[in-house]
Amino acid sequence: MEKPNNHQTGGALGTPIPLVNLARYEVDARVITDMAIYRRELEQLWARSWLLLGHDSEIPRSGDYMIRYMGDDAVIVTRDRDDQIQVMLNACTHRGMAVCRAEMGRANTFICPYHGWTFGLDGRLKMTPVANQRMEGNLLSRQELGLKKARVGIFCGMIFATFDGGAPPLEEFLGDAAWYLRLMYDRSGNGLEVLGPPQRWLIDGNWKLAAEQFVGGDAYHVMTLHRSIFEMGLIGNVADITADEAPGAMGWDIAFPEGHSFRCAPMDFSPIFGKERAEKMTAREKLLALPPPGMTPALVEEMFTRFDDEQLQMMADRPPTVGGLFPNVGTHNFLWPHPDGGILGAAYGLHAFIPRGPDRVEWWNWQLVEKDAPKELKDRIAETCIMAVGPTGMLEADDGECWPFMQRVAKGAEAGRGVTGVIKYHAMIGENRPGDWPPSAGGTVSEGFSKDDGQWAFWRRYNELMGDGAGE
Amino acid sequence: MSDAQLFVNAPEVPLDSPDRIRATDPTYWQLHEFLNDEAALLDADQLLQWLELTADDVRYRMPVRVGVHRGFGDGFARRMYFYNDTKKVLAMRIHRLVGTRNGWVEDPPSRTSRFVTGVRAYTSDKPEEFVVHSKLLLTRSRSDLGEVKLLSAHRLDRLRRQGGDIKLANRDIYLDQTTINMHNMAVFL
Repeated sequence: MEKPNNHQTGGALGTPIPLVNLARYEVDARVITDMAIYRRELEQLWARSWLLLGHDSEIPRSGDYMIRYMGDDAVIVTRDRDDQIQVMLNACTHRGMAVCRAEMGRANTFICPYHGWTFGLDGRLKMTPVANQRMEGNLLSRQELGLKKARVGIFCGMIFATFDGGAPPLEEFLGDAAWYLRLMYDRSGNGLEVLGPPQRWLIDGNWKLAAEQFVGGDAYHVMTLHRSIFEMGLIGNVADITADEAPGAMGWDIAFPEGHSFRCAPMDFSPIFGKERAEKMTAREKLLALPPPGMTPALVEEMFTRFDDEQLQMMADRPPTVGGLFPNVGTHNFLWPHPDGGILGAAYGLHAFIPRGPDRVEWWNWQLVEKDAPKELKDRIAETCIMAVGPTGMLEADDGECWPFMQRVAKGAEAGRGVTGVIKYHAMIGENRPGDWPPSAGGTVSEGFSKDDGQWAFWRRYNELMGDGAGE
Repeated sequence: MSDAQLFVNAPEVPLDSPDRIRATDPTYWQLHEFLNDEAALLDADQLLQWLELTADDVRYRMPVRVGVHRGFGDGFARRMYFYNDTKKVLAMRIHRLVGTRNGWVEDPPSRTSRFVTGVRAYTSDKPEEFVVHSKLLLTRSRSDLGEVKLLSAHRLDRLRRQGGDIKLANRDIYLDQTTINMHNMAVFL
């Protein structure tokens, strides 16, 4: 079958339509609504990317399993008898029934409820009833009839998988983003654990509406969409984000050719310690005085043994707070106060945006805590995380408000034409990496007010994967 | 198997408990009336008035749920919630909606109806407090879409007599859904 190229996928009208206009920094709004484009994404993008499925603390013991999604495909994630994490398609090789219908649990085998084909935790076909009737027939061997396996990669406890045997290793897929990712999720010896199963909720909008904001590290929307949070003085005040200067919106966008990006925010210790003292404080002093979100001074001491001086300086002065991994992962780690006072809380965790057709996305939210954090801190984060993020979060409830309305707009014939018909990323900074940015920290660094650089990295990568062989 | 550690069960349904307050008892109807009244306030978007019906030490929780096989319990998470709020957090959420100019999520407000049924009441270890179970169906209409979004749940409340009033002292909301079919949630159940 002839592969259409990326300039013709909107071809229902028979005219070439560039989806991503690299010269003009524009995206055709049709990528939001078109079923043909969605199908192409499943083949070209989802099937070729490393995808986040969860955290290894969700299935801590041998025999634990959970159902997760890779694009439109349901997979079973297990911890097998050898303590290895396995990912396999949740589809019986016989007639295609889902062999596992519980969302989590513990098992020795998966027995297809339809005809009883029985698979091991590693996906091998163990038996078919009735043994002496050989119901698997003679065309294929039992070895060939195991559940379809995916390649698995673990990074900072995060479980990734891909069905693409030709995809580069996970480390290569993450690229230089791994350096920043470790700052967010690899701070302590014993690592992180989830507070429980993820929140899940459905939004009547295309997955990319959510993904370009998170994966692209959009900080520009904060001053309007999340203005209520500043009106309430929760993480700054309205003066910080005034339309003329917006000093609170300054920072660094870091974008990567793999499509990932992060937003680093400046830490100012002078309100706490006074300007003179703050200027003299070392990175270690700062990190002990105000531990990064979700940490304690004891855990900070562990961080000192894991990170080098450049990493510690970055953590103290310019930590990554939000961002994401291509194609559909959101990352966040920022402080969040509790109105009852007491220890500081945090919003700490991971998002994934699971496609459910061109006009629907399922949002997943995992909350993370340091395994070795004291119970009081874990309990506090179990309160503050969902004050900020998730469907009830005072930040993200407003994010969810935009996408269904954008989806409805994109369906209109008139809205699909002319100036409105393209989604715009015209406000680019480009690379202006500060002289004191750590040499070991990669990526394209854009300093200043948050503009469109991170999101454009998402669309560049999207264009590569959706194009005709480009990006390979 | 220590899977009981992972999940919490839905509340039990003790039909024959000696603590049960039967429907022939006027107290039953006072508690029932309270549930109807607070639902009416929420339906009418009278959020500050609703907040006044909560005790100062109220705890308001809605755990995440997953579907698990029989024998693994009812699949309610122990420490992962949609709501896990004290009174000050509830007040903050409500203030964001009615006291700031940018609570987009509920402006324009959703049109909601709460259908409260299946009310069962019990005395508790404290003479002034009652344990009250109810079923709730929430309907939510947003903008001019024809579709109505639904949430259904079992609620387990502690209601407290305080002066001449009744206050909500604790609410645990046990959802039927794993995946919430709403793009956000700033409504109370």
